[in-house]
Amino acid sequence: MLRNVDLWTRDGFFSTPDGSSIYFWGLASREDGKAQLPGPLIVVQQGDTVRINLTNTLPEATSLLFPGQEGVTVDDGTGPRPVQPRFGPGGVLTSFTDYADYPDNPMANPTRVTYAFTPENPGTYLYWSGTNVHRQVLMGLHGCLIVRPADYDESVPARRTAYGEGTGTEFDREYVLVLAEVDPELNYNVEHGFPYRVRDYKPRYWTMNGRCAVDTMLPSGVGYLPTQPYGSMITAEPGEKVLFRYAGGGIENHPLHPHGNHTRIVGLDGRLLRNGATDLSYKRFTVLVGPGQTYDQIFIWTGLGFDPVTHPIPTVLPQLQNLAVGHAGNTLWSGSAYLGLKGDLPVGVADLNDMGEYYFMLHSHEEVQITNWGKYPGGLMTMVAVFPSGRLGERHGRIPYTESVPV
Amino acid sequence: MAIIEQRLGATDGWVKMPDGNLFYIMGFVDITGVPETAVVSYRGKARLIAPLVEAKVGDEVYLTLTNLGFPGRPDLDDSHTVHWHGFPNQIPLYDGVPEASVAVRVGRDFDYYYKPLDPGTYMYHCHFEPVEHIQMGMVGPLIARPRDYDPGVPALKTAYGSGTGTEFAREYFVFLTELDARAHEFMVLVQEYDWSEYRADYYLINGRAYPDTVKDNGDPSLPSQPFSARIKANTGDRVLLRFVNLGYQQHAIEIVGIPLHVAGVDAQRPVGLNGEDLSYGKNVLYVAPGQTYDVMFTAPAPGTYPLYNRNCHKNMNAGVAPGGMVSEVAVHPGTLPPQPGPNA
Amino acid sequence: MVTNIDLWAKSGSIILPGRDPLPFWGFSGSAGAGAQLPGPRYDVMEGESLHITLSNQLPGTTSLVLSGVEFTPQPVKDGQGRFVSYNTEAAPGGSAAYDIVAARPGVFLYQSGTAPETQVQMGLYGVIVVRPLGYDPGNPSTWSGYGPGTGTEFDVEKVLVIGEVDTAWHEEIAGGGTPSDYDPGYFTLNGRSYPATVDPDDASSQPYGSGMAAAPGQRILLRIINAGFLNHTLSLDGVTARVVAGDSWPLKTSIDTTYRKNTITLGSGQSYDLLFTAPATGKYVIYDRDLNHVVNANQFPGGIITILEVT
Ligand SMILES: [Cu+2]
Ligand SMILES: [Cu+2]
Repeated sequence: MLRNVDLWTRDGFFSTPDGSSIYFWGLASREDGKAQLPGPLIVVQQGDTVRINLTNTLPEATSLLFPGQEGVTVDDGTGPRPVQPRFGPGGVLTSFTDYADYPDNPMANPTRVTYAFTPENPGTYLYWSGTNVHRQVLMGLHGCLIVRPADYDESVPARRTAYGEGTGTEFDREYVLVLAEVDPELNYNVEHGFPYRVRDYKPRYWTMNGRCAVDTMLPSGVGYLPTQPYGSMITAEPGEKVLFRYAGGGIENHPLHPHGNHTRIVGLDGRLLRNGATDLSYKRFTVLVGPGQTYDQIFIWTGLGFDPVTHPIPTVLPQLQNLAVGHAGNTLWSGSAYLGLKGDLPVGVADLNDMGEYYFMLHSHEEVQITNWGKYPGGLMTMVAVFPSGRLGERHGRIPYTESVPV
Repeated sequence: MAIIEQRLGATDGWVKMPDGNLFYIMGFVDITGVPETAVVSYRGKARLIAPLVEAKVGDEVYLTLTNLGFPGRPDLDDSHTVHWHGFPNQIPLYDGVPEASVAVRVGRDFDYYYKPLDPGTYMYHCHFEPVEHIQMGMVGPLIARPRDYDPGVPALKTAYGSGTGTEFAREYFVFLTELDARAHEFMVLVQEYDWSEYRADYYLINGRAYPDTVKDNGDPSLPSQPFSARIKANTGDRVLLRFVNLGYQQHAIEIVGIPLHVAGVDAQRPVGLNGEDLSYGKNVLYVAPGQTYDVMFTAPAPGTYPLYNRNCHKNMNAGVAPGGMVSEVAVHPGTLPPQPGPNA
Repeated sequence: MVTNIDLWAKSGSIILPGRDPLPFWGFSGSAGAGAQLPGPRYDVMEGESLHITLSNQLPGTTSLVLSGVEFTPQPVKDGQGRFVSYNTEAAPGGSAAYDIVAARPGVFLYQSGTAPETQVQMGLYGVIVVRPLGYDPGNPSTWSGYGPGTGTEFDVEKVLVIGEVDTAWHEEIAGGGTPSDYDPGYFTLNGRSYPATVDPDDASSQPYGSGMAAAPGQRILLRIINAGFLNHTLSLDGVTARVVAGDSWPLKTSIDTTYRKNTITLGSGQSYDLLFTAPATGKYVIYDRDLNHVVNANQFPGGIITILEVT
């Protein structure tokens, strides 16, 4: 199937929970759309003919790399040819791949190029700029690409998989977490045309799907984060298989640790961890997410069977006034030890718990990265919310099969 | 199966670096069995690293956390928690995340309950204001023994159970953290610290910087830092190293002359879905914060084998070498008595 | 059989793009030759006994250790019981000898074991490639990284040694001072920063190029080893490789635990062997995905970038 994806590079501003508005370069999925951080999530299928039409509106040339894809071609109006790095005077690299020029270049090269490829392997991939990579990728020109297996069928559980039927990668819900870092001073320098010194790089913000905690826990598409459309709240029911797709969009390693359980890593960089009959998947409680790399994992929380009647907790909960609850003025705790039950909370503490669901933190264990400019909470943090069985509904955590750009 | 009752006090204290500098810490101290009237005398006696918590699969662990307050910062009334990092299928009440359950107020107790199901190396730490409390020292080691563990029977003295190829004669923690001097000084001076300015001045193994790392357990010059990081074995011994990283940086540890075999990661044996043996060799162990590695080797010929951080700029104490994450493996010609316990 | 390797530790200077010559310390393979970065690359056979003699022409003591090799070091301690050297020292003007068995095939770092935070950063590192039994340099059908059954047969091989240079440290240490915060501004492959990485091998103090050439369909074994103090992440544009060994431990033995990656992170001191088939004709960029490492002191492009040319 032919799949056309239109992208425009654009500048814009994104927000942080501590009130900063930061200049960035991103990608928009409509000509009149806003740049977004990270770039639009692209969802295609194994064997599709994928065409990415990139139009550049930035003040310098730009391009896109598709790591993990082979045989990528580019067409700038003269017909498709294999992508190639570009070299300038003296044979020095000017761009890691063919680019779309900037609009005011007196050389009047095309500002629109079409990249095309046929993904041969299902899995999670990144795309990122291949031009002035030391600046453009950090400024926000990166995003995630999901390739569905050829036999993917959302309505058939055995075929709702990351890597195809029989690969042990079935999932009930799936979530993408694209990680990156921001040094606002570098962004400011680009905004104002000041010297960009990447050696001075010192991140103050760490983003998960383009947002810093606690905004990560807001729903996708909230109106007051127009350039950061993707939420990172993970929801599931007990026993469900939840596919986490981690992707390192920035330039640093981040050790992500979910509370609640290990994950089983089933794929790396869009390649199934299996050699013939030999299964190479493995369980981890902390995954070091490296830049430019992806990690497909299955998370399952089954609980320990605690039930107020049949299997009560073996400790006595102290009186509420002897506990510290809702330090920040609100709490995700239900007031009860048990899934699906709610209990008393201290007066004056806002109750953020809906129906006795459990919340497990998922965060970077380089703890400075769970701050916003040094203040906890923030940064690379979200929650895995486990709802009582049957209460969550099917649509949560189902990334549309064909829709590449949900915003 | 045994019932294990352990009680930890959360308080503050002071640690000493080899250059003589003292740093204010927050941490845990073991107060198991201490009479209620004497508990108060443990205020200000936090340990870096925190006491070992150890249980067998199937045991029931009742871990009581008592918040003893900070005598060095009486203006603070911080709550605390215990988070057993990596405990599978935990419920929020026992998970120690204050935003998602409860924390323990000054002067109060709370009972955490764990029935470990998977053997391996874990860690615990406070999860209240975690950026601050973890860096300040509220970190400790945790071992879940296999169900059939029996230190008196060589075939049953294993990391992951009989038949898993993880028999060991001696075991040691290699518990990695860092210390940012300014963060600790600001705490004493009652100043806010911008954590994005974090920089490590001291690199610690088991709460000590080299050359203190090679001093004995309980060395009187280090009353708050009881754990040695010196690894001792007889030639031919199978040695298990339990690596934990609870710092804020990744580290790369190498032992000169001794390649390593990875027998466990994150309290899981490296096995595929069908039981495939995915264990592997490493020359340098690269460990990120929040990860644990169980690494084995057979002690070679007698001698001294330096252990150091291949990020060599970390083998310093506040910029002065030698220091930091350096220790040694001392191999004896069969003259060491059996090891009475971890790191002993 | 014993193979003698004679090394000299010397001072010299290196050229980094856009910069005056910089003092460094390095190894040389003969009394008359200058120091080089990285040190001379040696090819030895699995099972060979190596008798390494290190002659020290530096102002201070030095020593040699090998990484990933089983041996009994002879550390030297000071009066306070602290390590001065991780192995037998060679005093200035003196020498020391080390006996090592190349017990298993792979790519191994040799480096200074004396104050490595300064001496390794100054350039005292190099690699020894240990060939598996049966390897015959004259007979391409015998070429493999780890011998029969390991799935490491290759047509083209390239060793890439990753490094960093903190110019302030070099100047400080060469002047007899003590450096402060480690903050390298240059990032190197085989001792050079892009664009010099793609220049051919030469007789300079940075003799090894990192450019690669192959024909479509040829099997390329890329042997990456990180001699820097930081971790680095190499990305292969347009190529997904099979990871066939980590730290010179082959991943295909009784079972095949090799796996595929297009981007891979190496901790300090670690190595990976990546095997892939040369794709269609054209040029392919291999670079550090830590994108602050593809500059020379802020100037892009630079640092850890090289090119594979398939013709
Ligand atoms: Cu946590
Ligand atoms: Cu943790």
